[in-house]
Amino acid sequence: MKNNQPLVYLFILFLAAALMVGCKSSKKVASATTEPAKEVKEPAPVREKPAVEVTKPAPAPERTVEEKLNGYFDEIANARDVNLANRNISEALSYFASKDAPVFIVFYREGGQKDYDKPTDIMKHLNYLKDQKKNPYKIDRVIYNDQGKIEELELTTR
Amino acid sequence: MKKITFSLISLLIILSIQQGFSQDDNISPERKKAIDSLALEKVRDLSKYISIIGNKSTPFSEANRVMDRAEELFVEDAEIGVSSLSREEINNYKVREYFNRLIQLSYDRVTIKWYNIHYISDLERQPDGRYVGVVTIYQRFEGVSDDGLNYRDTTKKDITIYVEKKKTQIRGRIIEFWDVLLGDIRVTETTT
Repeated sequence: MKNNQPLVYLFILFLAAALMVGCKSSKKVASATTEPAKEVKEPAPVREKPAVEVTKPAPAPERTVEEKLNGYFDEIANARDVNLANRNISEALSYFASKDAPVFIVFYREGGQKDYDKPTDIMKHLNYLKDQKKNPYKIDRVIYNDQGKIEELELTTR
Repeated sequence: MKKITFSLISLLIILSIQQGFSQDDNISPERKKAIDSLALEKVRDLSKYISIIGNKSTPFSEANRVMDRAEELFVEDAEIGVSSLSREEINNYKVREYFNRLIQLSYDRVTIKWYNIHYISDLERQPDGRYVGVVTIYQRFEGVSDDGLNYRDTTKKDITIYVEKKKTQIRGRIIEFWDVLLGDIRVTETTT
């Protein structure tokens, strides 16, 4: 039995050495498996991009023709000079089928009945806004033709 | 018997006419107020037009266009009175002639402002169906020339207003509207 003792020690040493080698290689495998995880982390900025896009304010919804026209009417009435007012008049007219498109102005309503001012046309109305430097009306009703141009406008006092 | 029948028929005709008038005249106070305001707004519009026409910095083409618009506010053959501190008499001119004289005034700068615009006689329904009223305005006129020629006055003026319900056909549709027209503008007072 005493003669076998060195062999036992050798076996233990061998076993220990084998275990150490095994641990190192398993560490290598482990590190090899964690490395790709780093690669996943690296493209993090790509992930951030959509997050930034989400925080951006949503684009303003397209203004309706009525809103655009109301904008033109206000700009014409508040234009600092005649040239600016005339430029806005030209742009506003592009929405209409013709310069003669009728404009009806409702100044009073009672029991479903409307009281109209004398009918005018869009060219005269736009010049009225320019001359009087006021826009006391809001758009109430718009009638379009087949080409999408306005052929009749009804306004009402604010 | 014939006399009684004639009297009854006459009475019926008179009553039906009166009924017709009272139906047309059935305007609520709120509606009447809206018509009053509409008419007053036309006077304010004229005030602005006169100021543009008189302004020496207004381009001629613009002044001409504005004269057309201002003329549309008046009844046909309406006149505008013109007074001066330097003379007793008041001259009355047709609307277009008044505008043409205004644009030709020999000042370098002209300022015309209307203020204290109010009814002195409310719109009243006439037998012909029109509403007639009178609005008073005060006009401050200032003409200044670079060579030292200056003139200033304040004029009180009365404007007759006519309002009538009319019909027109537009794009095949009959539209009823209230037509507000200005009559003569008479000078009642001129002060410094």
